[in-house]
Amino acid sequence: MIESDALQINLPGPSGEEDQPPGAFFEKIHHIFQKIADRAGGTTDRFYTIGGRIVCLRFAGAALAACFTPALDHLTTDPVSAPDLTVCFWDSDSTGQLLPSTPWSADDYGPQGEIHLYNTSRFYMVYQLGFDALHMVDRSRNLAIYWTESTQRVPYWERSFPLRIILHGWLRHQPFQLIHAGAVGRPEGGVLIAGKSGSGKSTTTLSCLDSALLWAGDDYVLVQLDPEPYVYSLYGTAKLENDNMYRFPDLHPAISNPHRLEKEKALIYLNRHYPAKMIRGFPIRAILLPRISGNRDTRIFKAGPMAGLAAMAPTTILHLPAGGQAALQKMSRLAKEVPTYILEAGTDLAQIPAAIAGLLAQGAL
Amino acid sequence: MISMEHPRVNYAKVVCETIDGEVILVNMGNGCYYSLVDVAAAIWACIEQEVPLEMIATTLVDKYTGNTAAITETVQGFIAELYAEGLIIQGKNGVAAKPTGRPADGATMALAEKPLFAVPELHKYTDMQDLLWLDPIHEVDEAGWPNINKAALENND
Repeated sequence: MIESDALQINLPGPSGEEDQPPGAFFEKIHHIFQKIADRAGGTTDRFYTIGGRIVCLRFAGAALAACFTPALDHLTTDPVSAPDLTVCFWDSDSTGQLLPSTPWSADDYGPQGEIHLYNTSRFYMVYQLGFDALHMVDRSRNLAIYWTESTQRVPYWERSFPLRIILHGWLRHQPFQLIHAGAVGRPEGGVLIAGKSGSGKSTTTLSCLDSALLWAGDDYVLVQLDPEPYVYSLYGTAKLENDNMYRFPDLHPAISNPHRLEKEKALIYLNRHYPAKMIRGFPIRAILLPRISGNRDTRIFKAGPMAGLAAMAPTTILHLPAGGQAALQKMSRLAKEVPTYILEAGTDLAQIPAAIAGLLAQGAL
Repeated sequence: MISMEHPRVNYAKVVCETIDGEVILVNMGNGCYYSLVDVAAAIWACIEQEVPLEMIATTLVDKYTGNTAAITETVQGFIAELYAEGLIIQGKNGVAAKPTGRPADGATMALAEKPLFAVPELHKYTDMQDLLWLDPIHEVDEAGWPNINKAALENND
């Protein structure tokens, strides 16, 4: 049975921002999570290395863990007592606990679901319309909460890049930036592959699976700007459009959603099927902007930094709620610090990794 | 017609960045993004510095070769276009900021060195608009808030 506000919530006494609307609501939701966890006899904790830091995902129920962790399996690490970030996951469906009434009104939502007045230098709150998910971060405590109504309603694309909004909220005031891009390379250096959906990112990254290049991401990666531009793998998933699958027949048996391809892209957990091809990160030597040419051969030619910024920025900023100006400035800095190239991807897929490897081999990068 | 004597960047909805004289703007309110070069970028630089409209026109007249009245009229028209796209708002007062690093500062550029004034263009891109999947105005279905248009949701990847 679903209970509504069934738990007695004892809020802590006022101290600093805790008694203000964002802090008080965060505390309320966190106490609900703790009560649910106590009632269930504990939490399911998983640990991951994300951006060189240890992140603990704490689940009030194993079903939630099964929903959100497969995309991160390649980043699994040993448990620690003091992780850099702890994210508490709970849902109403499996716990029987509804989300309390939210203290804001429909007028308080920004265009990307960010909740005005609840986003401060300390707190970050976003309500994801559609499948109903609440993302909350308290940066001062390195504590986050992810609530959703039911895992049954979590769409496949959210499973392919879980935590995207919380990581953005946690890291947006630091020299890190989530970027809508793929990445392939070697430990000594590699390339970001940037562009909006349909530009050829997946074709480019997946064509590298049969090469010496290693795979760090297909859709979203984490970039650190200091001391040098460096990309960290986030998600071990790749998504392919239906009309692009013919190029990769070897991947067909690995498609996780073969019966839903009329409405969904093919979702492939590369970290499960190609674990040896995964790499956790490398220095960024160039930004590549793929173009599907239809010609047989692949060519690479130089482009300006604005081309790189224009490929990365609008799609990333419009995905990630709040902090757009800071994100744009970080991506601008990246575009100025590493060269941008157009990758005219040909139909002979073997030429794509060869061209990238050739570019990386040039000392002039 | 709205008065736009003191145009200001609509920072509540717009993020912008300039590289090598080219400007990229993203309007978080409608999901469109824009690029500006040459004269359009010069006008945007003035707006970022909160230069009043009258001084923007003067700056352009000093910087480019062309008919003063035509340049002034064109600048006004471009400002109106920026306003229509929600990229700028009308400021409440006119702090006459001085453009920095612009030829208009001293008007010392010899006439022969001035480039010809070209009509500023606002290059608009709409291919990302469907990413605003959380917009309660655009994406709710007939059931109203908080029910989303499922077609929009399915395409959010």
